[in-house]
Amino acid sequence: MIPIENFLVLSGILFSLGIYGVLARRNAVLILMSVELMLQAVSINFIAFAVYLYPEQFTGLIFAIFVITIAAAEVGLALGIILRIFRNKGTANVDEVDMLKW
Amino acid sequence: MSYEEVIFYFVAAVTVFGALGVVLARNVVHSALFLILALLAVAGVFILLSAEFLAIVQILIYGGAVTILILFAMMLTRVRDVPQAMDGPQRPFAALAAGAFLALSALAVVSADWPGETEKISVVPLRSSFVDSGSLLTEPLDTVATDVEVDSRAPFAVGEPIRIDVEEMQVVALDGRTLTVTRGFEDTTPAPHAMDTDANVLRQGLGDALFRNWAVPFEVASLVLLVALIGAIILARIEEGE
Repeated sequence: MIPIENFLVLSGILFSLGIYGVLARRNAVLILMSVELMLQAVSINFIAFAVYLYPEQFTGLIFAIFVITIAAAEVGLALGIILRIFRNKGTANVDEVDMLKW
Repeated sequence: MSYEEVIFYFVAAVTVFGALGVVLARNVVHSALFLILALLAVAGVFILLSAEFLAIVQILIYGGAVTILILFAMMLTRVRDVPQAMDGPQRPFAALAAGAFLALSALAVVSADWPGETEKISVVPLRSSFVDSGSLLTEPLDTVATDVEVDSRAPFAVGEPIRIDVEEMQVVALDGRTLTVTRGFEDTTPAPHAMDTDANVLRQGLGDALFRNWAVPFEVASLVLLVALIGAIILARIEEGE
């Protein structure tokens, strides 16, 4: 059996790559993709803990299902917002979207 | 290294490769295609974790819907036509933050004690409930009641997530009486392990949990999806006068 550490380290790598993408990228769509990577890392963690530590409960799996559901809703909504911003400002670059800056 | 581990390392390598492509690719469409690769590889990780249902959901929702949505958004916002740099000047800081998080999480994972780790210990010293039956051996046999039986399936330690496999031994004394001595082995794997249980039982349990214990959150999630859908339509709609 694969030790649980392997899964946790894999999800740590995925999550830190997501952090790098969110911080380094400037395009809103690319940032969204990096956020997806981070959500994947979280799902892996949930499922690994559910399967290894509490196999008689399904809470972790249920949470992973909810993560996937909410992520789908979030992507749809975020892309709607990005389209809107692009239509209004002519760019999807988050550095140039500073209407809320006071 | 078992074949399971070989598959795991392959799938993990594909996942990390895809994720690296997502954050490093110079072309945004390549980035999206790398994202598909990474998401499918994560579905493979789910299968390795014996969560087949989630792997299918992952392929359907992420591999299908989400990536198509992202590709659409790329084409509609024409990110390719904009010749600006995709990465900002904050790159070193981003690399530093990601590296720091990775180091921290890896440290936490390595230093923590996981229940599965007791697996490496094969025969452990007799546990408290065993000591009684074990100490019987040191006493002269005629002072001991004959046919001492220890229930091998009794709960030995409450709250311990370890299964104890018990081996029974018959000791025959010189005067013909027998003594059953029980020896305990600590098993590494947490008791009834998801990977050992029947796949049907697992799926049934998941359905039970989702539609019984978590029925209300499930309905709320569907409401969230509906609201997000309507919100996205309203946001993306072209208003009059635009």
